[in-house]
Amino acid sequence: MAAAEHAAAASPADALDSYPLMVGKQDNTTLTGNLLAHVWARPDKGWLLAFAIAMAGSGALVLAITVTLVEGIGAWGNNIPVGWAFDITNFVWWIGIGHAGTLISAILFLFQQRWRTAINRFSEAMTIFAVMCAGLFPLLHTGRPWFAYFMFPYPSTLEMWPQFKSPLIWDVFAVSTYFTVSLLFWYLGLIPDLASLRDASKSPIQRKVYGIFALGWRGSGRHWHNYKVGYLLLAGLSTPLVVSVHTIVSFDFAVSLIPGWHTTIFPPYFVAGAVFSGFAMVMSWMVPARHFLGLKHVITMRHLENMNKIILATGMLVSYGYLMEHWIAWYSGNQFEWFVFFNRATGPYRGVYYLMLFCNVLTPQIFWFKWARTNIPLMFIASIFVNIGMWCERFVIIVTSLHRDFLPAAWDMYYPTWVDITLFLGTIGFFSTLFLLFLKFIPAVAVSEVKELNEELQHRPAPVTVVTGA
Amino acid sequence: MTTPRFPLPVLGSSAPVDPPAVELPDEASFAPGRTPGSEHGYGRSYWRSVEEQLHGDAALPGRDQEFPPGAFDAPKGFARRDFLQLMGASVALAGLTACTEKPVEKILAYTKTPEGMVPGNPFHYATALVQDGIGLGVLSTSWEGRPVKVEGNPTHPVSRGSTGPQVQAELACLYDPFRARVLKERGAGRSWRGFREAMRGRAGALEKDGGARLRFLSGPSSSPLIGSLRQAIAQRFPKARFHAWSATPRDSVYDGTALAFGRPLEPHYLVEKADVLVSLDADFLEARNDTVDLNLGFANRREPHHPRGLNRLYVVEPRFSITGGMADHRLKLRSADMEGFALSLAAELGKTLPGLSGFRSPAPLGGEAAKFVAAVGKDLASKRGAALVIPGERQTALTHAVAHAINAALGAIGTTVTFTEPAVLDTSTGRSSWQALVDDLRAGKVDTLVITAWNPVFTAPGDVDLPTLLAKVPNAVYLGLHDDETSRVVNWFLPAAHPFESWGDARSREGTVSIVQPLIQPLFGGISEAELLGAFLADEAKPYDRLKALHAAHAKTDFDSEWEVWLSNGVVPGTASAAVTPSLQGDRVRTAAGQARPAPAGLELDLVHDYKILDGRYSLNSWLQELPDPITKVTWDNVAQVGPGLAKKMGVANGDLLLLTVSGRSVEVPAWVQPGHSDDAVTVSFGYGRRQNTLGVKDADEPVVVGHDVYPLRTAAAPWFATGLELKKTGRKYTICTTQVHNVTEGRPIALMQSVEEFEKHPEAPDVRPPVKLGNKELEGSALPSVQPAIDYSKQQYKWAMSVDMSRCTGCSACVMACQAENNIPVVGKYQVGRGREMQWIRMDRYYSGPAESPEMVTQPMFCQHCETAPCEYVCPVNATVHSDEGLNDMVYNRCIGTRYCSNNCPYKVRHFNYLHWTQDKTQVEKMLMNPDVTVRARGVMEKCTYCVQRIERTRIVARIENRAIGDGELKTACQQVCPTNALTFGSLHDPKTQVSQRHADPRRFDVLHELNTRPRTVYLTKIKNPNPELG
Amino acid sequence: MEHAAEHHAAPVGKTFVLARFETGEALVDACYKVREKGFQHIDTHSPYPLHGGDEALGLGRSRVPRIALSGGLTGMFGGYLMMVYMNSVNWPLNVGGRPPHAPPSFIPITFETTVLLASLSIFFGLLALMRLPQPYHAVFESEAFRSAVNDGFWLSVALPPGGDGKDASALLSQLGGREVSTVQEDMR
Repeated sequence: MAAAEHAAAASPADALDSYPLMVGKQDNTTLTGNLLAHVWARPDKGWLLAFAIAMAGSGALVLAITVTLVEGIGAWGNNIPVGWAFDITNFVWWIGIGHAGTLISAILFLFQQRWRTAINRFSEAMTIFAVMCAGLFPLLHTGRPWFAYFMFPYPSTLEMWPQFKSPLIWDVFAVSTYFTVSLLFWYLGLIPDLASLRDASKSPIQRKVYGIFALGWRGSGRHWHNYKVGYLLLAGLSTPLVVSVHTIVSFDFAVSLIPGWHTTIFPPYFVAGAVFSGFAMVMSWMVPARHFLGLKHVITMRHLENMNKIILATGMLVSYGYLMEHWIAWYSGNQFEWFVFFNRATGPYRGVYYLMLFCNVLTPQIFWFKWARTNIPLMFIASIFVNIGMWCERFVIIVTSLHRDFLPAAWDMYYPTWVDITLFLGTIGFFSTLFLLFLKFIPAVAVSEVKELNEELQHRPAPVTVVTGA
Repeated sequence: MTTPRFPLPVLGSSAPVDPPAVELPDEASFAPGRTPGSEHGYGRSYWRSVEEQLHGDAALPGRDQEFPPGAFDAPKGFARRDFLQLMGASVALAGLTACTEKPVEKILAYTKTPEGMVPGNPFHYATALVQDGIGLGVLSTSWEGRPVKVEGNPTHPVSRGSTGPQVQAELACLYDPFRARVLKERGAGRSWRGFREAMRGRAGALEKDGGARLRFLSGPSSSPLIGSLRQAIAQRFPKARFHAWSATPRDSVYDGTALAFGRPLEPHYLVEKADVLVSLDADFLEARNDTVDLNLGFANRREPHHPRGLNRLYVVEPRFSITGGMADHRLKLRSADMEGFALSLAAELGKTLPGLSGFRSPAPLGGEAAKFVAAVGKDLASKRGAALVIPGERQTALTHAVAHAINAALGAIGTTVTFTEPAVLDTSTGRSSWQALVDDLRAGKVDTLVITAWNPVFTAPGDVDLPTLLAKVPNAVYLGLHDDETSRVVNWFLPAAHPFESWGDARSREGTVSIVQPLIQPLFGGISEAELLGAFLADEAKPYDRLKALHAAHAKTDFDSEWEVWLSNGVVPGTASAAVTPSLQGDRVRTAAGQARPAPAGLELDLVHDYKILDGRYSLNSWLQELPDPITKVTWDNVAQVGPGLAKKMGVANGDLLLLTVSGRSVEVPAWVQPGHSDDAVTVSFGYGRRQNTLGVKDADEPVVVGHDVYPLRTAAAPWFATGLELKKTGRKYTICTTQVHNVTEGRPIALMQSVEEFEKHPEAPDVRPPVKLGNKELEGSALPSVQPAIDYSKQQYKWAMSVDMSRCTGCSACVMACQAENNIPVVGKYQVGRGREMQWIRMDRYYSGPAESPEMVTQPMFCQHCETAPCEYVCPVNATVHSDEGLNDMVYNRCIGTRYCSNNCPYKVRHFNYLHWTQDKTQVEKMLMNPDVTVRARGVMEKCTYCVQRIERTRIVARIENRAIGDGELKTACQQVCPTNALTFGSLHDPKTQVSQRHADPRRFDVLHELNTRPRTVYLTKIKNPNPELG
Repeated sequence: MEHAAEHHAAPVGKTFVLARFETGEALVDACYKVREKGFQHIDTHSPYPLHGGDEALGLGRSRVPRIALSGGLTGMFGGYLMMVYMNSVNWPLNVGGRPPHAPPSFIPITFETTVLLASLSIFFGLLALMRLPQPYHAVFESEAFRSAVNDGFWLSVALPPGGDGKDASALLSQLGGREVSTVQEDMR
């Protein structure tokens, strides 16, 4: 298999790329056939098994949420001084994961990166599901979730308004905006493919269902005329949005005065971290997906390698962030600030700290080497490591800063309870459930865009070498 | 008279009228299933109940014993009667009788509102509370007949408005839903009338041989009423014997004075007059009923402004006490060596003072101790007439006698220490009186034993098997608040009435009599000690009548009017004992000293009463259980305090279960490595380890047995310390829950302490002086340059602020209890404390400095600083915490959604979060304890110190009605009000004359973490120490 | 519907002539030619936007950018003024000693509302411009037309009322269109 991909010759257009964007001679008919194939196919054993596991995870999530609501946040390990722990750690982690999706679909789109086409649908879906998981935690972590609507600016009987100086309110607006825009962007991109599903479907029910969501799209040139502009504009808006969201998430910490939180480097450093973990998550899902859904001809080694390059780059940014944090902590001469970082490396939570360094700083370094960038099992494992590492980073930032802050008499330890852990694993199950459903019922690749890309590739001066058996 | 008068419960007539009570708790709330702390399934998954592992099933009977069969479903007749009593009470006004048989016609609605009662406005009644027989005048704030807050009586000479922690927590005992409700004979319900008839018959039989087989075992008491009853009984039964027993006997005090002066006397130490104090293991700063006034006197001399300057305190003790924490110099010494130390100090002084010639130490002291003695002796001698040596209750009579001799030689008697006749009825509440009773019991000489002492079966020394002895007594009667260890081995058990439910009287240490008047109808039909004793007399007079008859003698003019004045003031004037000037019988002391032998070497076991639950009588008081010990910060447990050196030698860490063995008897106690503790001794506090469930806690998995019982290690002969302790590690661990896990400041300028020399060189607090010069009228002293325009508070009439003088604060933690009582602060239980979720609004921070072997201690009460630029406020997304115009940092509970961001962003971490619904399983009785002025917080809501805003508003209303401004000192927060050392002040900064303004302008003033520019309204004053250069 | 049809003249639905072309280029060329012949209301149908398709159809600039701009401006001013009103005008509170009107802390939400309203206006603006959702359209009458969103390139010519479309059909087949057919809107 891999041999076939290697055999593909480079086109002059991108001589630096050793792998083609598309393997084999494709035309609109074949693409329509094989890109939609998995939608028509009956779910195979692997999918069913994965789905069963994922559903079990979702069930655990429901259980953990119930316990939390019935007993209160006391069911978690949080205390004073550690008011935030797993809850906000998970929130930041999930939000970060979401970012890669928007980045791939929007920013790479603006930069006219052709290789984004095959994977943007995929990563946008990931964004939406990740934000859904993330959104759970700000709601659940409040002591009285049934009053969480106080955070929205509505004319209440208390005649009180939200307090717009609080970063948490910024969060509310940022996350809800982010979710809405991502959803619109995703759906807008889906419309032509839904129409394609509608008209390629065999059974009338499928035709009806997809027909409803396709809104009656008929590929009209007059529609394409506005559609292209709208899609471009949404991409343009999503780009600053994705940067703003994690910036604002980082404000939750940067705006406070707790040593280890009160840091000006947080916004860029959080955004880099978000992209870092997001790409890792895309990788973790894409490697199996392209294998099981037979998408190897459109999601080629070229895509994977490019993503590994980005993981390396963002990983370096994150490492730089760590470096600066510690340098400034020492250089500032602020004993509280310096103690926090000293405590991270030597305190009771140092294990998490060193795991974070291993996963986020060392792991990506292997991607300096092409053999590693193109080794599928290796990149899969690395992507898992990066996900773990980024979770640890958020835990280190939140818990180690809180548990030993200004007054030593107030210091204390945080230990998670089974509810904390179940809640976290549960969101992973929930995420997987949604993702598996998406893979089953919606083309995992933007069919229309791939056809357009294919068209462009066909009209190159030097045609792509035909490789059979891809 | 000039002293303020507090409303009289008596309205017009002196006829017995029922005090108001509240409706009877519904039967359902008594069903065992509904009892507090029995909420099932909660937290099981993550609490390792070490206790259950240890005691296994043995723990479970504890639960059963706590609720004996029938304790909740009382006999029908009683249920009806209780119901009538309480309903009847609920209509009447505060009144005058402990009579428990209510005439039925009292059951009326509020048809005639009691005169002077305005619903919603509390009354303040003066009464007294007794601790080890010593009374303290208190004021009770009563809402429609419910006492909800106890405060010291400002007109009382010892209290002066202050109290210790126990008094603050007393109401949790009054409203304890597990108090005994049923009078029982061998477990079967009986009526009070039935009991009296039985006793009348018995008494007739006993009378024949003059009551030779009649015995009384009572706790220490100073009550003239009890005294007169005893006399009356003695007249009827000449051969009857009265024994007194206390687990914390003060025998050595009276034996010491007896040895020194020929007769037992009560010493009164006027510490404010002393320039140099030496404490021989005397924890005189522990705020108890007999030492509250010593706290103020001592604290006044810790202020550099005092005309006579700072005093200097030397403390010699084996353990680390709060007095030791306040010491300028501290010497670790085994209790057994204390005699030797006292004698060598006498010998040292003897070189210069003729009065002390001929004293010599049985054994020469070690290097450090010798140096210490030399320096102390020199210091004392240089301050003749203003020096004072205070011996501790735990020390021997000889130590006391020698101390008196030294005081006499230093000219202290009459100047810094005075003597009066003892106020208590029994000067022996320990060995001698106890031994006599035990012998009679062994000999089977006792037919009727009336026990009014608290739970002697539990507090009995380990060398006496009291249960079997009591089993032999045909007619043993026990009066107790709870159905406890003792009630199970006697054949008559009477539920006792709480002091707030009954008539009585008590005397303070210096003799002043206070009338104890009932504030509420007995909740569970309790019986008072006076009533019980009355049952052995021919006449049926009620305690109230006996009381009036007894005190009629004190009246100068018209008794009835004076009586009302006494009741309303809480003190009977002119009853203080007259000071006597005894002559020291130096030769007797010398001869006794001559027989002193060197103490045997070896490890020593030191037993001390627990700081919180005393001898265990407060072990069911969840407030005190959760109060962190001022030194160790341990809650819900007692620990074996081990010195750091010994701990290192034995490889002992906190929580290691140790096996303590003394002369064959052994118990297991978890270890606690205590800095500054002697390495030759191990200190354990007794009173813990009762086989009973603890109350008012959220968690069903709370230990059934709280702490470890060390009474078995005690003997009547050596109640306080014994050498020859064997220490063994069991290898098992035990979970100890503390509120403070880190004990040093990490070199951070937080809790500042400096010596008086440094202070005089540059009076400013070191390191953290506010850059802006002080004394400017707005007193924005701590303001750093900021881009933000400062909020202008000058327009408002008041600018509330607080100050904490760390030089005065001893860490006694009375403020923590007062705050808990005032602000309806819930108890969370041991496990939740271990999770770091304690709710007390005041965190008594305690830091050590210096080497672990001999550390210095500084205490810093930490609560909401009410920062003008509060970091908690701007991060709240819903405006749930905002600033008031007068500078208060307000919490809006019903707006709070519980994001906990405010707590995260609070640099002082003084906010507390309701992680669970702490109050959901409160019983009806416990709900009576709630202060109606303060919201009871819901689950998921943040809370914190409010500067007692409810008190501010009440005072504001009064001032507005009288169309004037609130005066300085008129408004006191709960913590400030109770503070025995006046370490806390509260008031408005707009008036530069207020005490708080002056303290804000004090050169010692500093703002904690001022570099964050939080501009706290609560400021601290550095702690000043006065070390001896020779020892420094 | 039946008796309704008797009483009133049955309304005449729109009529389209459809033709499929092999490639996008062929479709674009045909598009130009048909317009030269003076036919109005031409539309192309393709699985993805055609190169030069807009010019072939003679479409001008899209109105979407203006819609987006107006939405964005509304969000920006609306968001900022909302905060100023709520925190500084309607109920100013002393929050941590900060001024009630604190511009720096109002920036993030202003940005978010800008993006939110811009995006919403783009999405719904698009739907409005494209007259979507439109579950039924005459072209769906032709089963073969289903390839339009998959692999077919179709040209549709809307006929004026009453036109029989013979000339259009002829022209399209002459231009190389396959499966030339005439569909009429089903008014039932």
